[in-house]
Amino acid sequence: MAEKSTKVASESQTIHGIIIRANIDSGSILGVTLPKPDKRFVLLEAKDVIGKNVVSVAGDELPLFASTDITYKGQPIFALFGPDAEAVEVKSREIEIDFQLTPTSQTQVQEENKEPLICAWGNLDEAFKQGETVIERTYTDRQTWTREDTILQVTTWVEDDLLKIEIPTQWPFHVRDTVAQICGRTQKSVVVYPQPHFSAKDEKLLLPSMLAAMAALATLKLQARVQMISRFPTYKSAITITRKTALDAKGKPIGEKVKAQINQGAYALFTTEMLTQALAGLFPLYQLSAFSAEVQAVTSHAPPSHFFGDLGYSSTLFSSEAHASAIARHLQMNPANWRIKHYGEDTEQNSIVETLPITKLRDLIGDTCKKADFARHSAVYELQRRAKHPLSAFLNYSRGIGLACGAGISGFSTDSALHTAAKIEITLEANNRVIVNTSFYPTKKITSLWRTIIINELSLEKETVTFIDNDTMHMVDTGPEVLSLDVERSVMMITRCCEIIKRKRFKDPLPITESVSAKSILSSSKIQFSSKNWGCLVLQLEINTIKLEVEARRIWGRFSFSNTPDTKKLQVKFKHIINSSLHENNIIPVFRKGSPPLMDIEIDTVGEQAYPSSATSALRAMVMAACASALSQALNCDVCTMPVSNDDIISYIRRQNEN
Amino acid sequence: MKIECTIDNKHILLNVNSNKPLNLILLEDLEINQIYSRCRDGNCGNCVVLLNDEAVLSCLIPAFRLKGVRILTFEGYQKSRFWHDLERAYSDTGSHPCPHCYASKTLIFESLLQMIIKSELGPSQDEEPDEEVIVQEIGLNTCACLDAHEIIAIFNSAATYRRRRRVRRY
Repeated sequence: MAEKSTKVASESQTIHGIIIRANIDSGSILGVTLPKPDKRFVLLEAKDVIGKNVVSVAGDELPLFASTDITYKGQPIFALFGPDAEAVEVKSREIEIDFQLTPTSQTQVQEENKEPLICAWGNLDEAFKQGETVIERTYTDRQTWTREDTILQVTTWVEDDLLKIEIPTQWPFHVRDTVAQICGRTQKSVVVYPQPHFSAKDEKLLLPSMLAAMAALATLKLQARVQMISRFPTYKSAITITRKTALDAKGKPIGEKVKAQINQGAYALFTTEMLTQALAGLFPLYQLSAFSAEVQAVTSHAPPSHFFGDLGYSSTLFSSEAHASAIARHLQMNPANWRIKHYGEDTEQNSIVETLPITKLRDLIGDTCKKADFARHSAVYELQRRAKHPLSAFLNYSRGIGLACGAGISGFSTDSALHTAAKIEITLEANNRVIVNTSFYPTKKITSLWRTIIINELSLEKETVTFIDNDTMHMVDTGPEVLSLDVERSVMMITRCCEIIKRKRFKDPLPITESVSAKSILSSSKIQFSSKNWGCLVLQLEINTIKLEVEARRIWGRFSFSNTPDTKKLQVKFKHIINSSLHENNIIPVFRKGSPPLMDIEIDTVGEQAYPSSATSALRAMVMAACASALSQALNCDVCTMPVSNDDIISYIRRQNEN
Repeated sequence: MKIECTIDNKHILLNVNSNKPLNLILLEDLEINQIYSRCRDGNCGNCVVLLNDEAVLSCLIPAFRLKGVRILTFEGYQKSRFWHDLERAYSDTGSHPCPHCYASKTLIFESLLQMIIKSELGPSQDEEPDEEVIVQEIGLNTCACLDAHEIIAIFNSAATYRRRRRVRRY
């Protein structure tokens, strides 16, 4: 076993591998006991790495294999390869690793890994002095992780001196570069075949690269086809936000101090971007004379956090919206009326996120509340709860209705290196054939949008547009497919490319190749995020008095976009996101015979000549905030932590009974 | 182990390990790539196939259970005329499963539609599924992209088309 044999398999046989991971949070490796030598198996570790033992992304790095120190539970230490998956798994149990544990007090330490990002205006001390009431709440978006249903499988093999990789990924460019760096090969000698079944919320952005690098090392060492499966979940950062708001005598907010802390786990990845996105969600929509927001990222011995639909925007937007409802609740006002009264244009916020006019949001709130009969429902639930009509021995009246609104963001911030690094290349060939070169996996929804733009711009036939399959041509980095495909940026790049080709067409000889980088399009913009949409969501829920589960009864949503390619498709997509978000937050959509449909979603377009932008992250935040607000009404206490668990509900009920 | 079975209406002789799960047989031996899951333990429900018209998780079906059975994958199902009933139902209701579970949920719907046909053949056959059974059966796939109302609306719409098809035929 310890002896590494190169005669593991013949060239035609597939070798299977698994990753051996640390089962401690923090410590160091004292020694490794390997089983008896067996020529059928081979072990890879840090010293077998041909190039650098690191995976790099946007200036941040994390090691591929742990060499001496363990920094998080589940960190890869070895990769074991053998003739079949079952035999490898059995053999891996024979490996014994002795660890020296770090004292518990040290494992729980959270270290600040970067300067906090601060945004402030006005005199906060003065505002708090003038304030009649101060409301302080701490909101928590707990750490969550993927279920094991998004399991990764990689297959690597060598063909014509090219290292070929087949893996589900939304960022093949990163897979190729990482494999080239770790295996010490040129980028052109690595070919990636991306598979379509990558994870739904970008949560496995870097894992494919790590897995592919391990399998590629084995392929090069054994000169055989290698297959590996990873079953390790990916984690989302835990975010804690404390909001302290000063209100004047009339209940108008005058000053607010916000502090957010993001636990990034053992390795800080995308820290700058995460801080920017989190800050973008912290701005409240009500006008304030003084405001201060501080976002701090900390590292701990938790597994490193990854993308999870976004990088903290939905968590912070959840806190902003839930806090607005908490203020209205404190003032005993209808949250919808309070929002309509106090939400206004804010120049400071607009310097970070560019949105549609706030009047549109006010209209949306009005429409949604009218459709949901929000005022009546809210008043009735409040009165019945106060009247203490018990539904069971444990609970008083346990229904609630919540409202949340917000704007989604698209892509990376304009300051991010990833934002400007993306590039798209279009070639107009003879016979009017167009080849689009991107590192993007050509999913149906985005390719149909791109295809339509190219056809319209260049007046071509539908069949003439093809997307390269990354086999021979030099792949162009389009960036990771995060934040719902970053529709706005990609559409702008494609349009610009087509415009340049159109100018050169019939003048220059074919083929004409043009590439446009995001930098050339977006460098002039000082605004961090563009958001050409508003949304408002009302959620009605009930607590099941027997199972103590939260059940969603009805959901009403109204959304406004500057421009949408297909409203019907977007409606279906929104329903998917709402359903998934409900499940993520442990809220069960209830089904009763004869009851009206659970969701009533409508989308309208303002008709502006602007590019479409994503509302996915905002929608997740709205579901969370509306749930928290509705639960607060149902349980008569401030629910500030999501996702909600059965234990939380029991503790809220106990607190309610004590009061 | 040599196993004879029918996969996507093709008579096939498989030579595989007796305990190899069906999803891996389909992926590795037959190169049917419509199965998006490799979880191997029924976690996700993204590997549904029809085994004698019944929706099953292929990752939980070992090779030795395949002797003489009829398997229909989504790839094979898309070639059948029954596929259009569900395609139309998705279009009519404006709801459809997300890309991740599209194949699996569609096959579960088909297995439920098959129950209608069987119930119409005679009283001894399975009864027509009621709404709760439909929602429960769709739960075989754990993706939460569709809510119960949407599931029932899709099923009812597809069932209408399926019944019309039977009326025309007989």
